[in-house]
Amino acid sequence: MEQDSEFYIGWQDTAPPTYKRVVRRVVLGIFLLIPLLTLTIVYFQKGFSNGKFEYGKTTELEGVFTRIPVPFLTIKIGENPSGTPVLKKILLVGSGKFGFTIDPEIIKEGAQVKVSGFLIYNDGKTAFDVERITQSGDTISPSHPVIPDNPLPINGPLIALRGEITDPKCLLGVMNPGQGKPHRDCAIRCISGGLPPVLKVANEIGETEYYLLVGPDGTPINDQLLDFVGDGVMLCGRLEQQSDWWVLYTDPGTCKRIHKASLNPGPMCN
Amino acid sequence: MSVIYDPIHWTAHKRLYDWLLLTFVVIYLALFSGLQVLLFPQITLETIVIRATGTLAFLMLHIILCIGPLCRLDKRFLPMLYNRRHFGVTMFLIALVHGAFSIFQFHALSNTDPLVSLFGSNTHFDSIARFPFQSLGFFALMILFVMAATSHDFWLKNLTPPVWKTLHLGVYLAYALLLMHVMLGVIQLEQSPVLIGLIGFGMFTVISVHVLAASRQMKKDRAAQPYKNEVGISSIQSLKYNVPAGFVYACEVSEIPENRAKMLIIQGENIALFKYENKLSAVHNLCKHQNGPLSEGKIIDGCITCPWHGYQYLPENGQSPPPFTEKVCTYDVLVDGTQVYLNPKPYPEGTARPPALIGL
Amino acid sequence: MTVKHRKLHRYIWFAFAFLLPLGWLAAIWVIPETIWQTPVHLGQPPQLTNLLQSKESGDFVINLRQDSTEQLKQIEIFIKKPQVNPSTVVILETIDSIKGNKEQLLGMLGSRGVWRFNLDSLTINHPDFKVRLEDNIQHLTLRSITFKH
Repeated sequence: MEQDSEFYIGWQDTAPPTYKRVVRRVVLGIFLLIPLLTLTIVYFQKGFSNGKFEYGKTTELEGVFTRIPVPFLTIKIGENPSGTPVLKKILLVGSGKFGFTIDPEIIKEGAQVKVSGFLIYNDGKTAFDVERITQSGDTISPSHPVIPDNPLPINGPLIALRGEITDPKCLLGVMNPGQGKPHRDCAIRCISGGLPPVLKVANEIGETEYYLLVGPDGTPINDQLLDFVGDGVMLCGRLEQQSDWWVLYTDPGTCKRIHKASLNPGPMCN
Repeated sequence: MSVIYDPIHWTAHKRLYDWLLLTFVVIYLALFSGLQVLLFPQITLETIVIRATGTLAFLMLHIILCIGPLCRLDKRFLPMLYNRRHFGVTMFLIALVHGAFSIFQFHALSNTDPLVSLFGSNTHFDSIARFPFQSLGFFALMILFVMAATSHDFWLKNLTPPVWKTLHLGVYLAYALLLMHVMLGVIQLEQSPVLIGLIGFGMFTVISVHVLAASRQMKKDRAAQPYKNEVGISSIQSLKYNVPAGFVYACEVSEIPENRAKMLIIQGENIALFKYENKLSAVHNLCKHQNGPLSEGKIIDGCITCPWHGYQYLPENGQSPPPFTEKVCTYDVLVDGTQVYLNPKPYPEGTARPPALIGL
Repeated sequence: MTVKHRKLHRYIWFAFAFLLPLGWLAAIWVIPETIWQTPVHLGQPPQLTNLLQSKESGDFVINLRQDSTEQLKQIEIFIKKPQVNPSTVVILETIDSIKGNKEQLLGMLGSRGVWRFNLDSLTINHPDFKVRLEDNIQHLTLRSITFKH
C-alpha cells in the first residue's frame, strides 16, 4: 500500500520505496516479456522460401537470347535419350523493379550473348538480374531448336489455373516473402515496370509450379493484370512448355478473383 | 521546471529511464533478429529490419498507451509517466526505420515515385480485404511524427497545454490506424491464430485500462461537483444565512487530508482545495506545465507539487517559487465550522489570496 | 487534464472499446483462404505401373519403374522440398567395369513435385547404374544414387 507520506517527484534523486517496488516489477516484467514475445512472434510466422538473390556476386553466363514471349537466356545442356535438346531457360530481368529490355537493333532475337549479373533462384526456377549483355556470337537461325517452337496461336487445350499472381523476380528470391498482401504493392510496381507476371500454383502437399502469363498472342498483359496482383485468381489459357518454364497464353478478361479453396477444380475451361 | 532554455533538463531519474529504454530496445532488436536468423536462416536482412522494428514500435506503443491510465488507477506507476515523451520519441524513431525501410523495399527503384506508389499502387480503399494497409501505417507515422516533433516543452508552452494535449490525443488515432495496418497487412499473410490472439490481447489490455481509468475518473469528477449531490444541495440552502454571496459549499474540512487536496468542479471551474498547517487555499487544478492534476499533488516544503513532473506553486498566491515564473489562478476560501465554502470566481493567475484558517 | 479533455478521452475510449474489436474481427473475417490446385504439367510421361526400386537421398526420392510389358523403364524423381540451387540436371551413368561407365543426360528437374524420365533402349537392360543430380551452373554434384540389380 502506498503510504500517505510517500509522494513521487521525478526530479528528485530517489523515488519512494513503494513506487520503486512497483516500477521495478513492471520493468522486470517488461524485460522478461521480451524473450517470450520475440520467440512467439518469430516462431509463429508462416516461414520463408528458400529463394536466393546473389546480389553482389557476379555470375557470367553464355547462351541464346530471346525476347518473345518473355526475355530468356537459353543454355543448351545436351540431348535426352529421345534426341530432344535439354535446355535451361533463365528468365532475364532488369535491375530494381523493371523487366529486362534491350533495343532489338543492338541484340537481335536469337543472338548468342554473354550476360553478367546476379542469379536469382528458387524451387528449380532461375532468373538473372542483368548488369551487362554483349553479343558473343552469331545470331542463330529461327529454325534452330534453341529458339522456342512457338507457332502462335498456341493450339493446346484450354487450361484453368488457380493461384496468386506476383512478379517472378521477388518470388524467386529478391524479396522474402515475395507474395501475399504485404508484398502486393511491390509486385504491382514490378509488373508495371515490365517484369512478366507469374502465377504461382500449389497444392496442399506442396507441389508447386510457376506459370509466366502473356496474352493469347504472346504480347504482355501486365497492365491488364495489375488489379489482380496479390489476390487468389483463376485464369484460363493455353499452356506451353518452354524447357523448365511454363508459359500460359491467356486472355486477361478470363481472370477472376476467387475466394474459396478448391483442390481439384478440373483442368478444362469453358 | 527551468528558467533558462535547456534542451533536456536531465535528472538522475531521466538518465535511468533512458538507459533502461535503450537497453530494452537493444535487447528486443537483438533477440528478434537473432531468433529470425536462427529459426529462418533464409530470411532477408530487409525483412528482419522491417519486422523487428515494426513489432518493437507496436509493442512500445502499447506500453506508452497503458502508462497514462495506469497512473490514474494507481499513482505508483507515476515514475513511468515522468519521462514518457522520451519513450514516445524513441518509439517514433523505430517506427520511422520500419516505415522508411518498407517504403524503400516495396516502392523504390520502380517506375513511380515511392510516395505516389504508396497511394497509387493499390487503390481499393472501398474494400476491407484489399484495403491499402500501407497508407494506414503512413498516416499513423505522420501523426507520430507531429507528436514527436512537438514533444518538447518549447512547443508545449507555445501551443499552450490544452492545444498541445488535444494534438497529442492523435496517438489514439495512430493506434487505431496501426492496429488495422497490422491486421489488414501482415496478418493477412501470416494468419497464425497465435499472432492474431496476441494482437487481440494487446488491444484488449489497452482498451481495458483506458475504459477503467475513464470510468473511475468519471466518478471522481461527479464527486467533485457538490451541486450535484444531495449533501451539497442541503448545505447550500443552509449557507444563505452564514456565507457571503458568491460562495458555495465545497466540502467538510475533514474530507481533505493534511498537505493534500480535494478536487472540485464548481460552475465549470476545476479547483484544487489544499489543507496545510491548519489553513485552506484554493488554486486552479491544472498545472501550467502539462495540465497535470494539482489536486492529486502534495504540499512539500510549503509548495503545492504537481504529481506528474514536480512543478511547484505556493498555495497562497499560485506562483511558482522564484526564480520560476509559472502561475495559476487562485480562489477565495471560507471556513464555517466544519464546512468549507469556495467562491468559484478565479483571480488572475498568481494573485495572492489569504488562506482560510481552520478552527477560528 | 481539463474536464473537457477528460470527457474527450472518455468518449474516445468508449467508442474505441466498440470500434477496435470490430475492426479486428473484420480483418480476421477477410483473411484470404489459400487457393490450392495441383499444378498442371503437360507432356510429362505417364507413371509406369511397376515400382522396381526406390531410393531416398536428402530431399529426393528416386524410383525406378517399369511397365507391365517390361519393355519400358522410367526414372521417377520426387522433390520433397524446393531446391536451393539454380539448376538441376539429371544424368544416368551406367556402370560397366569392362567397357567403362557411360553417361546419358535425362533432363532437368524443376519445382517441387514429381518428374519422370523414360529411359532409352541401351540403358533399359543395364543392371547397375547411378542417377546423378548436377548443378550445371554452379558446377556441383548434388546427389549420386546407385541402383544395383
